[in-house]
Amino acid sequence: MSTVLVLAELKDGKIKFGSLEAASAAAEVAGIISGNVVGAAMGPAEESELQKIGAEKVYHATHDLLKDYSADSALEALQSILEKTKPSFIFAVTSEYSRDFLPRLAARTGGALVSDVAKIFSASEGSLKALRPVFAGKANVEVTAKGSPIIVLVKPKAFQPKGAGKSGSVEKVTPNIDAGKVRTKVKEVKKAEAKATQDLTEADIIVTGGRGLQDPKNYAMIQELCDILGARNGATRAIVDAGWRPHSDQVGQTGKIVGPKLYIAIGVSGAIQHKVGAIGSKCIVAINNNPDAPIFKFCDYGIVGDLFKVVPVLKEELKIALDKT
Amino acid sequence: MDILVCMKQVPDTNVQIKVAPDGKDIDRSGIAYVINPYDELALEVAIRTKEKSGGTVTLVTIGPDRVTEQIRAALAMGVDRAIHVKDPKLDSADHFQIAKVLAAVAKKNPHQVILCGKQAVDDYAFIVGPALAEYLDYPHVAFAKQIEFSADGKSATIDREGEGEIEVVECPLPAVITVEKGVNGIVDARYPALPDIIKAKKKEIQTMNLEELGMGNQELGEVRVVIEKYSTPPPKAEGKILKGEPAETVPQLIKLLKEEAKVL
Repeated sequence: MSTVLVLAELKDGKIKFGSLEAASAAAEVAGIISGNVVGAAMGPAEESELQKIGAEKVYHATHDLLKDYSADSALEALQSILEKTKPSFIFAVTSEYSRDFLPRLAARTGGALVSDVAKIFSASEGSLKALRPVFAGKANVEVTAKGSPIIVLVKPKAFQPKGAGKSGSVEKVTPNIDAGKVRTKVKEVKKAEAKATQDLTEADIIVTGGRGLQDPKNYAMIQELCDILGARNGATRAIVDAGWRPHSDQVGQTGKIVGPKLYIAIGVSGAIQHKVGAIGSKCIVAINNNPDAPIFKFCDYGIVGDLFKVVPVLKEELKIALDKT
Repeated sequence: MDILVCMKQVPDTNVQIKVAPDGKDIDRSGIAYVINPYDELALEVAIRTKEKSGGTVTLVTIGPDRVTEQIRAALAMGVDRAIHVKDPKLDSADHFQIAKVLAAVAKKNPHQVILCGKQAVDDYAFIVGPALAEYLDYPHVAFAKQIEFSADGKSATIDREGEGEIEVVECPLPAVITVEKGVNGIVDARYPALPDIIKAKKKEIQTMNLEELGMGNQELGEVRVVIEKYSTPPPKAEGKILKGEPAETVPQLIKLLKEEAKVL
C-alpha cells in the first residue's frame, strides 16, 4: 500500500494552520491512490499537538540539532523518517520553511516538487496532475509531476482542513544527525521591529494601506481598523519601498499573494502588481478618492471618497456592527 | 570576494499575461523583459561588495538570444563578465535541470559565494537556489535580508527575516545565498550611467551550449515537472461602487458585507 506523508510545520511547538490544509490535500490523494496518510514533524512539540494532523501515525523527529532551524539538520531528520515510511507523495504547505529545504530534498532524491498547488486533477503512483498559479496569479498552469517521491506544496487556503481527524499514535524518531554536517548555525534570534503577527497568507481579514495615506503616521488608521476587525495589516509596494512598512506586510507580485475572505484596500490605487496579490480574496473592498483608480475595476465593493473622512465613520460603524462599542 | 550571481530574464511585472494559442506557453509577443527583480538585488549586493573590498562579479544566465539585453544591463551595472548558456534543449527545462546547468557552470568558474534572488517573479517556484546548493554540495541560506562576509572570505553572517523575528545565521563559504527584498537596505538597484553602458559593450559575454559545458542527456536528467497547459483566470464580475457622503456609503457597505457577501 502506498504511503502519503504530510509534513507538519511547527512554529514554537504549534502546528501551522496551513499544515492541516496540506493534510486534507494529502488525504485527497491517498483516497485516489488507495494509500494511507502518515504524519511527520521535526523539532520540539507536544504529542497532543502532533495528533491534530489527523493521521493514523505521526513520526516525530527530535534532536538537539533540530531546536534551531537549519536545512542540513531538517533534511537529515526528514530522511530518517522517509526511510521508515517510503512515501510516494510528500505534502506540506507552501511557506518559507518548506521552500527552504524541500527543493534540496527533491534534488537529492531525484523526486519532483510542485509548489503553490491550488487544485489536484489526478494522481497515480509516480504521477500527479495539478494546477498552480504563475505570474503571481495572472495565469495558471496545469502541470504533471513525475517521480518518487513527488513533493506537493499546497497553496495556503486552497484546501479546506477536514477538522478533527484520527488522533493516531506518535512514534518518536531519533535521527542520526552529525553535528559536523550541519553547516549553517543560528547564532541569535532577534525580535523584529514590527510586532509578531500572523502570516499574511494565512489571514482571514486583511486591511491594506497605500500611498493615499499620505504620511507614515496615518498608517495608524489601518492598525486601528485591524484591531476592530481582528485583521492582519497589509501594505502596498509603494509604501514598503518608501520605508513606511516592512516587506513582510507587502501584498503583491513582489510581496505576498493572499486569499482572505475579506480584503479592505484603503488609499490603494490597484496597480497590476498589487492586483495579482489581492485578487484571490473572496471579497475586496476599496476606499479611494479617485473614481478612475484601477482598484474599482476589480473590487467587489468600492467607496469613492476621501479616506480621511470615510475611515473614521467606518471605524465607528464597524464597532456597532460587530458589537464592540 | 569572487562572486557568481545567477540571473533570470523575466517578463516585466507590469505586463498583462496572455496565453499562447497552443496553451504551452504564455504569449511572448510584445512582452518587455527585465532582470528578475530579486536577482537584480543580488547583483547589487555583489557589485557593492566588490566596490568595497575588491574581487570579481561574474554573471551566469540561461536562456535564448533575447537574454542578451539583460546581460548587457547587468554588465553596465558593474558585473565584470557574463556566462550565457544557450541551448534549445533548455527551452522546456524544469527548475532542477536549470539548477544542474548552473552547478556545471559554477564548477568551471572559481568563486567564493553564489548569490541569486529568492525566487523568480514569473513562475514563483523558489527551487533553483536551494537545488543548486544541493548539486554543489554547498550549504545555503535562503531569504537573506542582510549579508556580511567575513574579512577572510571564509564565512558569511546572514539575517533572515521570519514573521516577527530575525534569525542571525552563520554560514561557511562557499555557499548559495538567496536574497529577499530590501537585502542590505537596498531599495532599488542602480541605474547605470551612460559611460558604464558604453563600457559594458566591450565586456566579455561567454556563450556556451550544453555540449560545450560537458552536459549530455544523462547529466541533464529527465524533466520532472511537465507544463501541460497555461490558462488565465476568468475576469472578475463588476463590483458595486458607492458614491456620496460617508454617513450614507459606509452603512450601505456594512450592510452589503453582512448580508450579500456574508463576510462580517
